[in-house]
Amino acid sequence: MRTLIDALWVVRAEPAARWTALTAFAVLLPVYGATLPASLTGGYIGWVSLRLLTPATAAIALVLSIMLSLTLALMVVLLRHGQRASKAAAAGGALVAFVTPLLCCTPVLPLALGTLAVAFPALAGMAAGTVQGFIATHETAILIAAVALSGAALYQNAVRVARGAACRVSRSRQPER
Amino acid sequence: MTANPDRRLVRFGCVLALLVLLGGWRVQAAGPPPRAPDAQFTVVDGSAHSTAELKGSPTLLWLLSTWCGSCAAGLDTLSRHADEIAKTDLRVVILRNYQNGGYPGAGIAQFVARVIPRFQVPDSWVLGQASLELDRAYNGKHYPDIYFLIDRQGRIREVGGAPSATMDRILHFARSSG
Repeated sequence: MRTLIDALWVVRAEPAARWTALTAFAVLLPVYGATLPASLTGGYIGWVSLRLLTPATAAIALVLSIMLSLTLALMVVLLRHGQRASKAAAAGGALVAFVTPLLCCTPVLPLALGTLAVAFPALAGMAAGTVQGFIATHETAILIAAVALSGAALYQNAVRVARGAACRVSRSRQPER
Repeated sequence: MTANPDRRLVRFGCVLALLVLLGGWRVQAAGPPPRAPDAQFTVVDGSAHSTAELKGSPTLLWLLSTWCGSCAAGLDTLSRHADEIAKTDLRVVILRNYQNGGYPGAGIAQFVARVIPRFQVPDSWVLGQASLELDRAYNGKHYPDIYFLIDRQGRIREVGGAPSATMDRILHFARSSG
């Protein structure tokens, strides 16, 4: 926790990182707010999906937006300091949360499997409903996993920022004593 | 020369997206069939019926899977507009997909009772189960949530999904068919 607070102080001190966090939050909150209820609208995204936003979905959208915008800000700090940012978990969390509502009750998966079956006939027997049903009945758990992934990404990048650039110097490059 | 795995993944994603778009275009280009095919379904009391019996009244034929979130939201929306629907001649036929669209779940009566517990289903609404024949005729791609707006002559006027998002189209059809 101390590491995270230290890293966020660095973000606060750097204008580029601060603006990245604010801009990303302003973009991500409406995007997630409109996308997460898409499982209730058959994939329609916009005012109609915002209308179906429940308190629980709104809370997940808020948490995801905060974590991803802070992760992006930490990435900016790392890149400006010549360090490598941890991207995989952040991309995974963002993608899982974005794609899950679109896959569960829309024609996307049946169309994709139907089209792929032209090239790979083995897929023809695979009912999209099996996958869609699993996603629909486990949607909450999948979204919690996305939040956990985003949290992991935030923590990984916070640790790198808090430790500073010195820890990235490999042992083999240190001058011999 | 071997391609970077990331680039290969991006290329695969682009090809998949293109195929999905082309698939969607094909569905759009083919358009709805002019006549609603005749197919069997079973209503909750166990009696067998055919879509051929639907001629004579404008009909909303909705195929849903009881695990699907948009189906629950759509049913809730439909119940909220029941009074408006009652003022028209629209007949509402709600059928659970054959084998529930490939994933286990509640029967249609339990689903309705769970989603809209305080709603008294009007007598003019039909609840039932689609047969394999009906599934093949109307929902070959196994969409979890798809409806057909069928006119008095038994012609399919519109195909859509998710009444929670498209209720205005259903109401427009109901009013214009009156």
